[in-house]
Amino acid sequence: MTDITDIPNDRLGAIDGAAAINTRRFSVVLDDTATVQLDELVVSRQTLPSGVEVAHYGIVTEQTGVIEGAELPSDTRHIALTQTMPGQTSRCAEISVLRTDPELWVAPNPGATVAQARGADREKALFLDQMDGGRLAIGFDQEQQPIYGDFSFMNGVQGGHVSISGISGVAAKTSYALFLLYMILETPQGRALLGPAATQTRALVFNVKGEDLMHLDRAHKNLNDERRAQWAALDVPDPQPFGSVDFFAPPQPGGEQGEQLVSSAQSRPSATIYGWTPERFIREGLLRFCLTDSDDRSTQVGFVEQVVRAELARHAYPLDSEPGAVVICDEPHSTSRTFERIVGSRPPAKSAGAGHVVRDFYDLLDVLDVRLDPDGPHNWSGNTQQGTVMAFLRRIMALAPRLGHLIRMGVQPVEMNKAVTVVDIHGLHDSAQRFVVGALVSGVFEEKQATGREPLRFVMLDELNKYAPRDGHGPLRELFVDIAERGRSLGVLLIGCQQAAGRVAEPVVRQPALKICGRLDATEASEYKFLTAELRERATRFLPGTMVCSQPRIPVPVPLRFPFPPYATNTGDAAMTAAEQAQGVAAFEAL
Amino acid sequence: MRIAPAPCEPRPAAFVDGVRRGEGLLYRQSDDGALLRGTVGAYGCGAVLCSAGRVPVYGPIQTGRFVIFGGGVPVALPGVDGYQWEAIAIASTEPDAPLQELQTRMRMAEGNLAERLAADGWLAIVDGPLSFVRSRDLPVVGLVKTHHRPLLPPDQHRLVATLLCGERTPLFVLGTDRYSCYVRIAVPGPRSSPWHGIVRLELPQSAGIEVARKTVDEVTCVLPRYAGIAHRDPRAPQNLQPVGALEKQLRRRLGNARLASRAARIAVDRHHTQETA
Repeated sequence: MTDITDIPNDRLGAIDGAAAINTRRFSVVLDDTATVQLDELVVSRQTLPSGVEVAHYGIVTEQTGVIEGAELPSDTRHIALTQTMPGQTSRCAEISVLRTDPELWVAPNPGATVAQARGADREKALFLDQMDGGRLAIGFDQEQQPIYGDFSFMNGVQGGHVSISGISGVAAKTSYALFLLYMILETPQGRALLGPAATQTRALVFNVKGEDLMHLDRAHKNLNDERRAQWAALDVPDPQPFGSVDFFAPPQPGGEQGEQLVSSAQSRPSATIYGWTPERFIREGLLRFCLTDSDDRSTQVGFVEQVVRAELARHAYPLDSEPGAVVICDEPHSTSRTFERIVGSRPPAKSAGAGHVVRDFYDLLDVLDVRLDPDGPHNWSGNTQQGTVMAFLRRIMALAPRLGHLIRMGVQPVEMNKAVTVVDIHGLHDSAQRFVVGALVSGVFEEKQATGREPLRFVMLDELNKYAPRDGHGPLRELFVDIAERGRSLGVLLIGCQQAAGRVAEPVVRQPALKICGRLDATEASEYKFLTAELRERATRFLPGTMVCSQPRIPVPVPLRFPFPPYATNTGDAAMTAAEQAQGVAAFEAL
Repeated sequence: MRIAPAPCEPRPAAFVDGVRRGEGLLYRQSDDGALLRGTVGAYGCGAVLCSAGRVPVYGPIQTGRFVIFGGGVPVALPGVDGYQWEAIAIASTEPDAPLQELQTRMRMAEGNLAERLAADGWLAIVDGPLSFVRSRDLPVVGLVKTHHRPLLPPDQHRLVATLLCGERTPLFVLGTDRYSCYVRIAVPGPRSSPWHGIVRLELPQSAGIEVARKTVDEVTCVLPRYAGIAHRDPRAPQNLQPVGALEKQLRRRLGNARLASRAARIAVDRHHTQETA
């Protein structure tokens, strides 16, 4: 990186005294020769009567121009076109104050000169001298100078979580979230900030759109020298794809017991097929993530679910010689009816003859059908109204074609053994997506309750509004609200994306320390109170790749851009390796 | 007789004008008990430079701020808040003589500026008669907007109203040192007065009749282009667009009138305190 500390500050103009200025914003009358863009950083110095020298650092938020002397629109024509009247063009830049150094609450001096903030001034303007917890490049400005985030607000020490908003397609939410993960996990700077726990740090990434994220370990074919230069500006001289990634895909629906499982990820056949064995499903109490529709929770159905969840756990014994399968016996192995206590110990295995064997979701449905029969001998539903019990059964039955294929024998649990774990949920029904997200995220959260903040666990999830909607309640929403509120001290950090922050549960979008917006929907923009009025308006016109970042250190949100990914972000972008090319040629020749 | 000069390449023209403003009336008693009047005020003088194919620009602008007293004794006022007054005395004790002196100084400054610009090759057109252009050798043109008394015999005077836009009368001799002619610079409307858009030009005689003729032709050719716009300026079309804009600019450069008056009051107060102490 070039050292620009030695370049003298360039004068831009003088603070406009024609309008009152205040401690938050002022306007600069630009010199004729000065060129300045939005988002550039400026500095103005003054000496107070006490002799103290004060510097005001600011960011250009808007620009205006006027021909002085033109009072009517037709005057402009006489001045500029027919050229019969003189006029004087004045250009102004509006500045929002970022910082006063030393921290004195005084307004800048009208008439004082304003210069571009370069080198040490730029660092002061962006509070880099105060980022004691370390700093991580989170993008660059128009001049490809890096913009930093305070890492202590990313790792949970002082704050945590990232919230990324913007409309689908052009806001580049997923791309930015991946970029942040890349900076944290893959660059030497990020790993240095993670410290000794770096190798144990994990990220759980949900793939919700196409098979886009199933190729993060492959190079992007369009990464050229110009785009590499963007990385160099962030001090990442040789960007590579993600180095340590595991891919998980759900099995294809259908298929009988014992048949070979088929991965649903077509472009990534090597992905591990994930799912839950009946034993894990029951012992982890995952039934609670099956009924997550808001109307499921507003009725007594939720109560039936609680009872059934506990009863299943009480009556389920591991099946002898077939790990993962369970036998539902009449005799409970625990006298407790509290779920956590029931699963506290593992009951002894029993043989198939001891009861009803459950090897998949459909077996489970059969069990429930019998056990919830009000006239049957083993009624689990207690005194609940029969209508409610039937409503519960009906809902569970309806789930079978949607998520039944995830609960079966032969599937692998999702284990976070590598730095990044990508779990594909894009092809799943909404209910199944909520089930998978709930099951995995609660697993991560529960594991961290016991182990302390480090090593960190990042969870990257798009379309948060599906899982933690603003209205209603349910186990999934509560899980995310809990993570938003307590996750940072437990080291579970959410990198959440949503099209509209207004549709996501309030703590989930309020708690994150880093709030990022891409292109916003104009009808929605007023929701983003952390943006200035100018930025809200501007954010509706952002091009893909331009974001605005609000972070606690810097009082004014700063627009930024981020570099082109070195990893493929969909199937078509992946560069073919030599082996793949040879394979393709061979396949063609064989035709 | 009407003369319509052939269209010519417009020469770079400089329109010179000034404004002045009385900012306060003062009085003092002389040693013999007579009441002497003074004024504080300022003038600004400048030019608009118009070159073909370029946006007209403001040329050099000069301002002055004075305290002018009748009775022959200058009174120096202390500076206040950046306001400074040049102290000037005039012999006259007439009540309006100090303001008249301010006007004279403005006209002199206009004349000086016009001469300087003419010497630099500009077609210098100064607002008002040539009374304050001291050099008679530079082709500075005076532009007179108002016509208080007929300068031509009645039968010729009558013909002035028949000029069409862009036409001028032949030159006639004015006094001992000037030529003059009438020019119409705008197309009169159906209900305009007969003298709508008529201005009078003045030129020094010393450069000779040929130079004078060539110069007025050039000016006649240039002026209609810059005629004032009625909805913008009550003195249009005679008050030219560059001149109207220049006057506004000059007034701005004199600063806020009420602030200037306040500064003068403070200065007088301090002056009085100093004198009594």
